[in-house]
Amino acid sequence: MIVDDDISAEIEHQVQSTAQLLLVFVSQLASQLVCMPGHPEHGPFYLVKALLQVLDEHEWDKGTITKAQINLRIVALLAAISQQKFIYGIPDSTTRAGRCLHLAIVCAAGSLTHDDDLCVAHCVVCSRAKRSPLRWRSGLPGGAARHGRQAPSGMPQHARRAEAEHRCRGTLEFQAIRAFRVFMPPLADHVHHHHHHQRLQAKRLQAELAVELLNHTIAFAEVNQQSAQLISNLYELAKNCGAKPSTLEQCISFLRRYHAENPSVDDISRKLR
Amino acid sequence: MAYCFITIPALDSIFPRLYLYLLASHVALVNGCLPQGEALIKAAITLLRDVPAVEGAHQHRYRPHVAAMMIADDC
Repeated sequence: MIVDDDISAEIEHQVQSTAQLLLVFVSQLASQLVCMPGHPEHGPFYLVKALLQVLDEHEWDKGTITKAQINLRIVALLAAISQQKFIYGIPDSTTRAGRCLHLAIVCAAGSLTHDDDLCVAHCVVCSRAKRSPLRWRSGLPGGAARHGRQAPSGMPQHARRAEAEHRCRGTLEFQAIRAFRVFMPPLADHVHHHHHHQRLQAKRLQAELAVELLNHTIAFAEVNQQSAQLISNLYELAKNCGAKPSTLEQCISFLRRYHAENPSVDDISRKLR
Repeated sequence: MAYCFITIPALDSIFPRLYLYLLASHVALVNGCLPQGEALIKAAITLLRDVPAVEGAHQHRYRPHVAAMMIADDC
């Protein structure tokens, strides 16, 4: 076996941050998690929760926005999960996996609390899609039986469904924007930090992050007063930090097209003028 | 799948391990092996704890002695 010692020696002392590599990997992992079924006992998002927990414990460099970018990828993941039909899935077992996922959602929603941010985030993206986050079909238990797991007992299934639906709707009404509040503090921390240390670099990162969050908000958030205000603020922030005018123009043109189809977003158009 | 699950930890470099876990779980899902796919994804998520903040640029290459060990393992 030929070992190229010279090349190894040449780059031996080079050290690079793993943040960008981690972002690329987590993006790919998130795309795979879209078609992973949930767990009847641990909930539909147990893998996503585990991923977020691991990422929270990770030591991030103070000068990077990677953690915020990864959180945005998770928002995109939840938005993808909220679709009625996935554009890709597990061959020949997509339906079964989907049933298993929805069964897990039903089971998890039985213990849904207002602190369950992931469920709230899921509700928000479902609300944007104008449909209920919970869907059931007849003959659901197939997925769980295949795993050899049983759904938690104690309450009749129809009662559990009714309670879950009630709780989710309540969550939707009162905490529609909460998911974005959950993801905002890390972004604010990063922006604050950058503003005081490396001004030029910070401005660039700030603009990059603001544009990214702006795109995600436009794409996934439910349109209401709060999200309109958020979009307006992010637009101003990106503009002040020197984001490319062409990029911002693309966001605005999308909003104009959206406005033509949905007159209810008057607020956004008015604020951006 | 079992072979991949057992031998991937033998790799020294962490990112090739992560990507191999992802690839193996993809193959497991495509072939209808949901429990194995789940286990591989869980292993990848667990391995994320060990990702260092910085690492040497050369660590993205497969180390020769690890490749030799994998061949020996196959025998």
